[in-house]
Amino acid sequence: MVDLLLISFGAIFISNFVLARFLGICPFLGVSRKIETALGMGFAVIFVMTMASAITYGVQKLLVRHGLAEFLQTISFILVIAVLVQFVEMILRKTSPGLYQALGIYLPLITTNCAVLGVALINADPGEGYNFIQAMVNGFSGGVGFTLAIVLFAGLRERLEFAPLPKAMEGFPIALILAGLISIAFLGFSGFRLQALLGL
Amino acid sequence: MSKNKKIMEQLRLVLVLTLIAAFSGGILAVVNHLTEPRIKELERQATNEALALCLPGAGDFQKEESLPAGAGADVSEVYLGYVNNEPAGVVVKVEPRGYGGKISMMVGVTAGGKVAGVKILSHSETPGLGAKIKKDDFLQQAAIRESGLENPPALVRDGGKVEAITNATISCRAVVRGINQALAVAESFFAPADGRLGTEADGERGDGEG
Amino acid sequence: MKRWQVFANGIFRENPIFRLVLGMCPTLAVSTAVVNGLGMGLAATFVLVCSNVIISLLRNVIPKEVRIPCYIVVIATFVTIVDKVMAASAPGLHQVLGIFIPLIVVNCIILGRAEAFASKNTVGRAFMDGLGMGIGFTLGLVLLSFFREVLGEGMLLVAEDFGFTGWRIIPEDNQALMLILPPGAFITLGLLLAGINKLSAKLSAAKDLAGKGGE
Repeated sequence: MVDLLLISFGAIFISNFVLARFLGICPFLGVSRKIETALGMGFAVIFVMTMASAITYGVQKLLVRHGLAEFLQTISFILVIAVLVQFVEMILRKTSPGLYQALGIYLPLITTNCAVLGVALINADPGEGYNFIQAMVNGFSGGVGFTLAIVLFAGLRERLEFAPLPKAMEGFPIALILAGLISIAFLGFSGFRLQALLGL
Repeated sequence: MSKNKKIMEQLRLVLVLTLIAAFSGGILAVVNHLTEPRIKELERQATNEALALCLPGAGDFQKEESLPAGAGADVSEVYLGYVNNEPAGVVVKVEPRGYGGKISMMVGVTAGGKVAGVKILSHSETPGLGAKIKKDDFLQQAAIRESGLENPPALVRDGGKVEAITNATISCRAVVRGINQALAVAESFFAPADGRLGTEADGERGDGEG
Repeated sequence: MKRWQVFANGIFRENPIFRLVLGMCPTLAVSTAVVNGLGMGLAATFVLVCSNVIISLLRNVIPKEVRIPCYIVVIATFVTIVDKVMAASAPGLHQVLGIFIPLIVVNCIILGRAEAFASKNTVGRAFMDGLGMGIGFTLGLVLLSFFREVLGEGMLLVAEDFGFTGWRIIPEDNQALMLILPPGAFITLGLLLAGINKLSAKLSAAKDLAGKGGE
């Protein structure tokens, strides 16, 4: 239980997928103009990352057993993720047209969200040695970390719309600097030892 | 007719995708076959270089099948180093947790119970601060170089003699913890139960433990 | 558009980093040293050129309905080749770039060019487009890494893997450490983008002026 807590805290705060590991930057910059869409994107990513962690864990086990992990890992992971995203898109279109409309073109983009493939690769890293539950928790928490970052960012960007800016700073430049400032705040978590806090 | 056509079309989709996937699978198997030996060789070389650096003089290293009982939690691999087929010391790979993550390092301990060499293999400490643990200024200081079982290293602020890098106490403390775990592993080789390094160590340390 | 224009397009007018703002994950993550940026840039260029050529060759064979999975398979194949070759030739660089090599698969630039350009153009043009985009990406990475390495690390061109110790530009302990840390990646790129915006605005204004003067 404690190990899960540590993995979760690490993925959300200490090495946040977006702000410290630079995974999932494209949607982070692209879908963060409004808090609502950011939140929707965040939930979609949480869902896909958790599912992808579970499925790629099985795929990895299968590849290792047949001695194929060395060279088929990347290709099979990305195919599994592509199929999964397609599947989620289909379900969302049927069950929640509103959300589907809001996420629009960004849902297919989850396939090329490096946070999803990234978490699959991190889970498969023998150095981490995650088991099935740990891998899923890592995926879920990574998604939560992504959502936290993108929602905070969207909140700031909404206000930025009214700020007088030099022409050259408008758009991406100021957004990136803003992301840098949030990243500084998250830097405060690095070296934070939850173990010490829990008395371990 | 049109229904047949539709099925044919569907089949074509599947066929093209399968063909492309099979083709790339084949190419990758060939590429893997060509590069694999070289990658393995490079890995072996890197390990051997690190081993030789940690235990200078030893020519041959044997990896222990299993970790000795009671080894510290961060110990990951143990090698015995030989000179002329005589065990000359151990090299321990330890991965203590630093500030930014695991610090992967190797520590050599001579049969005399002295630290022979320390090498940082990889780490994710803060650049410019904790990352300085790799530098000779820190690793080659006398308090580490001349430490051993009799005088285990400790940071100055923990009552020892090792000078920590400014603003990087946690990283330095992790390295020192790694060295101490390596020393503990080495000690288990001097113990009577194992004794592979026993006799020589006894003579030099003279504490009659073995 | 002539072929050389297709090539130059990727470097200036549609530079992936400074104009399209794509492929941000590897850009931000590996730009801590010029050598890392260069390595990532060249790896991505190789994948971009190869996948563009293959996809252009197969553009009449690949059915529209399954084109994305097909592109992904082609791209992933070349990424794995780069991964293996780099591990066998520059293990240190391979370790530093780490997870970001397999992640070239999801670099939006590559899939983007496959979809927007290679699938609609001849092999020659697709090749030039891949090369231009790749070099544009590499130049952007090198420029960003240059600032981060010089100002953040105080060093230039450190490449331990190739036995190169680099030059010290800023005296030790006086460098802006923040730039080498994650926040520094965002902030440096933001400032660089703003600078380039300013510059290109000035340039086009000058052009307008020159155009009017000529009339």
